[in-house]
Amino acid sequence: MSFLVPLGACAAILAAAACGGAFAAAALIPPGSMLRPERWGWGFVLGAALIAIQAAVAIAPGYAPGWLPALIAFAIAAALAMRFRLRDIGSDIAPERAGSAGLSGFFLFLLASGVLLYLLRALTEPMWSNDYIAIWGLKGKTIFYARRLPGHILPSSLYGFSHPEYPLGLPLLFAGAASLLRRWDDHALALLFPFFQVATLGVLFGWLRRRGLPWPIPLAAAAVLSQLESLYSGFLTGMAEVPLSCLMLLFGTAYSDCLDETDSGAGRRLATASLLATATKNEGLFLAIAGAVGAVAGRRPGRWRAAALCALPALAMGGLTRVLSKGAPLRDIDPAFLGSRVSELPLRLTEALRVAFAEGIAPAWPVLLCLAAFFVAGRPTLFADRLLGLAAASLLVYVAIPALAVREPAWLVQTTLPRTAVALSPLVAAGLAGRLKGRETENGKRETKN
Amino acid sequence: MTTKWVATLTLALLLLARNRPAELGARLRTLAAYAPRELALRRLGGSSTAFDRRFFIFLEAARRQLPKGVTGVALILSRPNESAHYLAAYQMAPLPVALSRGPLPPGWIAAVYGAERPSGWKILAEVPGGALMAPAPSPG
Repeated sequence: MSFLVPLGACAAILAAAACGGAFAAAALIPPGSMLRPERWGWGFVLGAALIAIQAAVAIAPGYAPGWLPALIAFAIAAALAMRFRLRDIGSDIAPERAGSAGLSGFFLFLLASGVLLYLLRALTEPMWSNDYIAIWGLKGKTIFYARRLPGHILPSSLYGFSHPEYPLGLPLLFAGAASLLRRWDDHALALLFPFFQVATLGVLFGWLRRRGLPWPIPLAAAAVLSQLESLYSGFLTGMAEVPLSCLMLLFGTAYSDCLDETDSGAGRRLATASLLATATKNEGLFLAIAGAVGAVAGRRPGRWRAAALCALPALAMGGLTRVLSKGAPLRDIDPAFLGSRVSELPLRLTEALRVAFAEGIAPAWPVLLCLAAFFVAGRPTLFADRLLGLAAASLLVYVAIPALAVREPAWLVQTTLPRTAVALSPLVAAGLAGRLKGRETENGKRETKN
Repeated sequence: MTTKWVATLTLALLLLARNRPAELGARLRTLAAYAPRELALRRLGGSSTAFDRRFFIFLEAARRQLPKGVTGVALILSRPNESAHYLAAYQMAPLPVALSRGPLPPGWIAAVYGAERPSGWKILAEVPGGALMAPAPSPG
């Protein structure tokens, strides 16, 4: 079968899922045109989550996932959205337009080309990276054909390489989307990833606009992020980093909104993002815990509620993942380095930092110099600095974790750090751009100055 | 122009420059050439099979000729390697795959890549690049 037929079908399914998800997002995002880009970004993510959920719910009693379970899932989500829809308008003030037309045109071109270039990279061939073949795609294909979870089909004695301990969100999404396509097409399914890119860019643009930045800055932030080839690459297409990077941005923005009490949906968004990020990759759990710790340390009103909304959904999903994986241990990590072999830890940590600097930081100095310039050009802005704090805490964990690696620390730094770190880019983009303009009043509401 | 716009433009150009025109052209040509073909041929032309494209042809042919009722596949390679193991696990999913020459569990068969034909095994089907085999029933 020609590629265009399943590709068109997949595009139609994902667009329909985004529409259904945008309707369901009424329970998370208040009405108002200012929130439209975020509503569509969240809409696609919720639509994708519903596709994964219908697959999980259908296979639990042994049924096949497909159109009927999906329609039921979307209908239930729509009914819940109608029942719990938010009616208040967010308290943020829409900034006036500013900036030169030439610059805006350039960034629009950059944004469009970034999306098209990633589409080209993602669709040039079926998903191919080693981790897609050995982990994410393998599990998705197994769920789709066997209608059972991988832990029940693939013996852990033979399939340790597939990391049975990883969350199943992405494999369930693959299986659910394939069930709507009615075939396993690992080329057409790659389209999921450019959709996640567009959702990320929409939320980034929309959140910065809502937080009071004049529109050339959010546009520039989205345009620059769209061009980040190290995240939006053919290699990462099929792996969890692109969806996770989107969910991390959703988490970070909801986290900051929740602490500032910008609108009545912020808490719901935070809990949803915490749940979905943890269902996608273990790094989502780190982020949720970092958020909970940061919220408590921040000493703002409502910090305990925010901490609970960060931590409880993540811990619940982490627990569910443990149950589904039958308690499979973390394959790459040796806990003995925190116990009987703890004396080796300082040396291993030094080695991890050395390799991270030599192979991650030093070669990227021009880009890091630009990021430093952004940081210096901005000013302390609490709503944005929180996102940078989350990114910094996550990065610290990513750099330190290889010290616990089963093999030498350099191996884990080289194989995982570049892609786990680059998934923090949307958070960093939102944080740095947010610092470029904005001032907050004492009660945490936005005040705009043009 | 302020620092933020200089940094923005520099960063944008740095990232844009990572797109090599030659690579983009090759991707466009690949997409156009492979789009009309069936999925297996598109995967054959892709990077996941680049380590040994004949191995993928063997795998896909073996998958299509698996007898009904098979519950697992033992992969026999002259030079076992991770790439081949992972690709075989993916292609054969949801059937479990093991790199093994030992006794097979009930319902399993062997996919033998290359010219080797283990003695004491019967050939179920010859496929391009190898054969599907199963232990011969013991006499008597």
